[in-house]
Amino acid sequence: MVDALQGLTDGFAAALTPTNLFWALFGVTAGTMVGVLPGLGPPATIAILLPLSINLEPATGLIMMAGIYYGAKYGGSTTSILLNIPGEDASVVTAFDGYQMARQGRAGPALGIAAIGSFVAGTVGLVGLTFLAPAVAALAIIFGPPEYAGLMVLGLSLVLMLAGSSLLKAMMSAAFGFLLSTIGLDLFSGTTRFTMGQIELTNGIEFVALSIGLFAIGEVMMNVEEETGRQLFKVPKRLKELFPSRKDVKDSAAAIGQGSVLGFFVGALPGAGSTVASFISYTVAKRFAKHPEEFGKGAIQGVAAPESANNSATAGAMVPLLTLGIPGSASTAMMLGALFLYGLQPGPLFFRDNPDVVWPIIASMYIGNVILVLLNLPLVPLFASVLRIPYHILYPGIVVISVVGVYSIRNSMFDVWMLVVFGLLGYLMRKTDFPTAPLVLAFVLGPLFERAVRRSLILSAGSPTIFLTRPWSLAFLTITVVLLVSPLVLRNKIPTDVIEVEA
Amino acid sequence: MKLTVRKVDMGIGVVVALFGVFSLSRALKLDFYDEGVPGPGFFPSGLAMLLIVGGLALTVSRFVKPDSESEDFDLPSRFQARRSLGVWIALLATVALVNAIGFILAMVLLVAMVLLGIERRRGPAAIATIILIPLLVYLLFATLLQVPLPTGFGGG
Repeated sequence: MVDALQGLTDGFAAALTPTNLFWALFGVTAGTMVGVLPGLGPPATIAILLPLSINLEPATGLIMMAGIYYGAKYGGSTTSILLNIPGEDASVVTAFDGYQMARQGRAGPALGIAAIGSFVAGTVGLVGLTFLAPAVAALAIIFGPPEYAGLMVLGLSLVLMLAGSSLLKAMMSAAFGFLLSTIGLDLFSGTTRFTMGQIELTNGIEFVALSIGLFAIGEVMMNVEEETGRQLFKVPKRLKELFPSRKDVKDSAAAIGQGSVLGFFVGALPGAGSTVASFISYTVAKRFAKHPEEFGKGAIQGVAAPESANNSATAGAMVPLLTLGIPGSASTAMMLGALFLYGLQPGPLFFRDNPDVVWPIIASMYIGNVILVLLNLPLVPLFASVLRIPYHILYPGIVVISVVGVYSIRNSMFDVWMLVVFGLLGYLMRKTDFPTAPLVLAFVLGPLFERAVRRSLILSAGSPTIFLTRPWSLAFLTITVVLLVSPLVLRNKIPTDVIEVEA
Repeated sequence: MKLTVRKVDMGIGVVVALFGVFSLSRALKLDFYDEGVPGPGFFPSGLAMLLIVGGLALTVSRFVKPDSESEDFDLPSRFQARRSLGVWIALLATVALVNAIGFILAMVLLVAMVLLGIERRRGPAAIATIILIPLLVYLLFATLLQVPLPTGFGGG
């Protein structure tokens, strides 16, 4: 603890030089700007700007990278809230309530609470990274396939909470999403599944094409059914209404708190990442909300929880990267590449052998967090003013940006075709009252669940008791059963009417 | 004949069940079990069966409900369908042309089809929008972020 505090103090002394501050500001700004665009998420942004860091000192270059990582994570929420276009995977959940808030003329408070939640959760995550890194790294190590399987069962069971008016439709939507996720090469056997001879499908369906198609294109098709010769949403003119009120902040406090803690721990698990963290945090916020029926219809906690988890997970993901040398996501894999570029080898001795690099990076993340909130809160009115544009001009722009954003991920026209297909599917699902959220959730969690179950059964030579003999796995399964059974026991309905997600 | 939510759901249930049958037929060609542990066909088969059961359950549950209890289905009017499907068809057509005519021209065409064909907008503002949206997006992605967007057969 004392060592960590001393290291952090030294880190701040090193990070607070004009050069490092400039590159932190540059990284956060560039990350936010690129993060706003769909498709190009944090890994792509880091990759684009990686050559720029080669000529910098290791600590300075890595400070810039960390800034990009943070900024891009935050930027992704902006288009989710304003236009229903998830800028990156982890921003999908933010769109559920953020976009509904924008429709109700509350884009400003949604963007504001995203910034505040990101700042608080990012800081909580960094405190965790500073003081709990070794302990959390040890936890990450004992998390084997059975524990992941238990966690994913818990995650998939949360699909029930994303049900709209029909639980049956939600389950069908989830099964379809899971089935879609199985398309492509099966890494265990080397067999291709459901590719229909299309070589492009070997790598599976691109998540961003699926989510932007379902959400952005599907929403545009719904909105244009009516005349669009006016701005679609009300945008308040008074500056006061463009920021979250005291009540908004108070209402969001618990969601930010749980998102901060959950996000850090889930983010620290390699492979789980901020997308899973944001989904879990959202559903937990709903489960324990006073008015769960407001979720999916513009509940501010529905923005605060996933945005907090998303940003806290960023700090969490740095734990296995710095202490074990294990990148848990594409973004941290890029960060690992940057560390290698400077001849640094993260691992158990990294903190001891390279304090001059590690602590300035961690300190700069605290600074980056402050820069992020200072940069973004004043920009809220500017971002919200996008909605003043008449919809007949706005929506062709949404469609064009969606096409380019999806193309830019793998430079693939096939992905753009997928966008077109999922756009129509999103429209039809809205028309027929099929919730899209369970499809997306199952698409994300499905492959993680399948991988974990198959690995576990390989470890146990096919015996399913492995899920009951490992404490963490058993704990997750027990929580799942309690969550599913408790509404029945309490003589409430299974929460089919709890949440209606219109995203 | 009045179209109700009940009838639409029954139809969807049948479509989903048929899709499940199709998926199951493909999944059964994969190994269900491989050396005592689930193989590549294990999860797809289970999910396809879930779709079949879910689809049939939806159809049956709606079938047993009297039609008089069901709400009318919110079928889009011809005007609404023309607009929403018009956007989708414009997108489909331009995506088909991207590789041939390049990104900028294709997106100009897309915005033009939407603004002139669906929105019936005329005048300098519409022309400016048709040119500016694709141009700004191109500058942002292709020039600033170095995304290699398709240039078409002409290479321009």
